[in-house]
Amino acid sequence: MLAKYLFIILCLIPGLGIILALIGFVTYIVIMQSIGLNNLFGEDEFTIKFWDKIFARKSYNRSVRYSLYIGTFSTIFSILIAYPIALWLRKPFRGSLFISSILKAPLLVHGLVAAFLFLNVIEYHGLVNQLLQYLNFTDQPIRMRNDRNAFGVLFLQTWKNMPFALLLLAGALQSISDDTLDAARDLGASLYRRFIDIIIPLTISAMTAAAIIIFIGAFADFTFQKIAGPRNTFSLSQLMVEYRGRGKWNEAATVGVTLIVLSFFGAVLVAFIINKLFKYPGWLSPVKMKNIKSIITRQK
Amino acid sequence: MSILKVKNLFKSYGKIEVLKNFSLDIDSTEFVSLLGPSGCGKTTVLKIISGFISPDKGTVFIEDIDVSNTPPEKRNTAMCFQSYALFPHLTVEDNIKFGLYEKKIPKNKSKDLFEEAIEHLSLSQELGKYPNELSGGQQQRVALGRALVTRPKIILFDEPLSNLDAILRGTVRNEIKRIQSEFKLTAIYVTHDQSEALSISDRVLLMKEGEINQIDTPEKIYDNPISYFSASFVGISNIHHFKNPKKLENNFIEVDTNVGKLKLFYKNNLTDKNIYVSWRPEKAEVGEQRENTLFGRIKSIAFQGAFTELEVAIKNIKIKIITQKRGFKINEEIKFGIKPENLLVLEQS
Ligand SMILES: Nc1ncnc2c1ncn2[C@@H]1O[C@H](COP(=O)(O)OP(=O)(O)OP(=O)(O)O)[C@@H](O)[C@H]1O
Ligand SMILES: [Mg+2]
Repeated sequence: MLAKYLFIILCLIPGLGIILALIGFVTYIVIMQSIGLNNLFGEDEFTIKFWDKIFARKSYNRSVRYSLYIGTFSTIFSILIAYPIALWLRKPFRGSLFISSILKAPLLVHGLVAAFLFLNVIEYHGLVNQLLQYLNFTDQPIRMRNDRNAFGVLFLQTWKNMPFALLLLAGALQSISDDTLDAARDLGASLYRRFIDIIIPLTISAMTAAAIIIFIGAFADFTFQKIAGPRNTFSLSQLMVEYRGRGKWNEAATVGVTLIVLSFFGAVLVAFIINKLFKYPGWLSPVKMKNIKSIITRQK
Repeated sequence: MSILKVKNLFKSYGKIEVLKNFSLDIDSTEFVSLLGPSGCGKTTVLKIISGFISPDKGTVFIEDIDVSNTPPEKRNTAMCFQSYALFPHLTVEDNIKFGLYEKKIPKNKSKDLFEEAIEHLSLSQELGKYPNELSGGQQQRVALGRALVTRPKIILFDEPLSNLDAILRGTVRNEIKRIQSEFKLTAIYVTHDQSEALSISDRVLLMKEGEINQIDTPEKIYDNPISYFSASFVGISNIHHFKNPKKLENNFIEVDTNVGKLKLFYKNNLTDKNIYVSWRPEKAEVGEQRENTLFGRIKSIAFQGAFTELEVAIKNIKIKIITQKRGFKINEEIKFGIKPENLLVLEQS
């Protein structure tokens, strides 16, 4: 038994082992540097002054809020858009394969390229403005680039991540058999109840996986932010690069640790919320609502 | 009392006519099997009754109410799927309670219904398990419990035993029958296994290419098949084409067949469609001298314990005989007789 496990572990070391070692090493270095140890330059000395300083910075707090905002809404939009499309593509029909391939194209386009394409479209003299002017919606071109609310970044994040969510959700939805849905219907479940009580709970793991990965990716966004994001706010990764550029390695490390910690807790929170909302009978399920209602009425 | 009436159903997919003027009338608490070869339209009938498919023409009445425009979720029928179709994300308990929730049955009543179902199906040990932790037979019981817990007017089975092994099939079959009579359910049971149909049904509906071929009690279907199809599909029959029927006295007729002249008893008038005569292998009386005495050579012998199966050739025509007698030899010539009343006249279809 022990020999078997040892064998498996030895087999995993060249691949997974190296990945884990590198992640562990980087995480270790970043954490140490954020408390003044393992410095690249100068003396090592344990201190929390970098954390003190960074927490007091307005720009840092704004970056945290901003990155959480981008991460959360990119995740929500990607899944909200992918889900109906996945439902629509559940049953194959003429041309469905073609449509789903086209929809997955953004997965292959590099973020940088996508961002520049996008800029060309929404630029002061870009396609959208020209069209709006042509249609007499506006006399003056509208400034859409680097907008304050980062709608451009959200758009790009959603555009890039929706296909990924679609990939996972479509797989999960296609594995639900027609018999299962027919059985639910036969037992009296309306379309809404079949959706809430069968379809959604059976796609929870796919949804959670998609949400966590999209959240972490969008939360740590650098490229889209740098090109299309608002000029007055930095995302956390941008802030980290900014500090490093000025040679402030310890401050950069604190931002790095912030990214790691918030990614982790964000992912846990995302998984928790999705499970609470959608696992049968979820908060949205009438079964649950009835229970909640009966608890409330009993207490009164 | 009639609980289900199906009238003149027609259904086609493109050019394929799946159902042709299919009608059916079922009484309350009756157990009716739909027996027929693959592709004859059995599942289509069930899906029309449960509402998943709408027919091109025809009507479905449940308790004399036309339900043609009622969606499946509002029809008082329950389906047991061949694949069981249990909800993989729900425990046995939630699977069974699903219908009670969805049909909004009041709490105290649904508690009784649930407990009764659990008790009858002996599932109390498995309530917390998920479907993938159950054996095939247990899954089948959960599917049954889920379907009958809301006390549907009609329960529909689509080949419920086809995923079970031979031994379990017998047990679960008897269980279905027991539960059906305990709960006084009206059941329609689709199968292509004739022994299944014969053993548990009050009536067997024999289907061929979207039409009813014969509908009768299991005994009548076996003893009095009316067509070539029913004689050959249910049980084993020796069937001979006949010519030149001659009327004799007292409702006897004599016909020419490829195994010789046969005398048979037939009360009705022969029509153009009556062109076959058949008899069951066990009706041959080996060694006896009767009206219809035939001679043949034994080509194969299969001893089965309680009886022996013989394949006998009469002038190159192979026939089957089942007898309790023993001690046969290959290529031995034997003599056997068939009573005229055991020879049946069949229709062509
Ligand atoms: N959706 C469909 N589109 C086209 N043809 C169909 C469809 N559903 C069924 N058919 C055809 O209708 C015929 C009857 O099908 P049905 O499923 O009722 O057969 P069955 O008697 O249940 O067969 P089996 O014993 O194999 O389950 C078959 O020839 C089948 O090919
Ligand atoms: Mg079928």
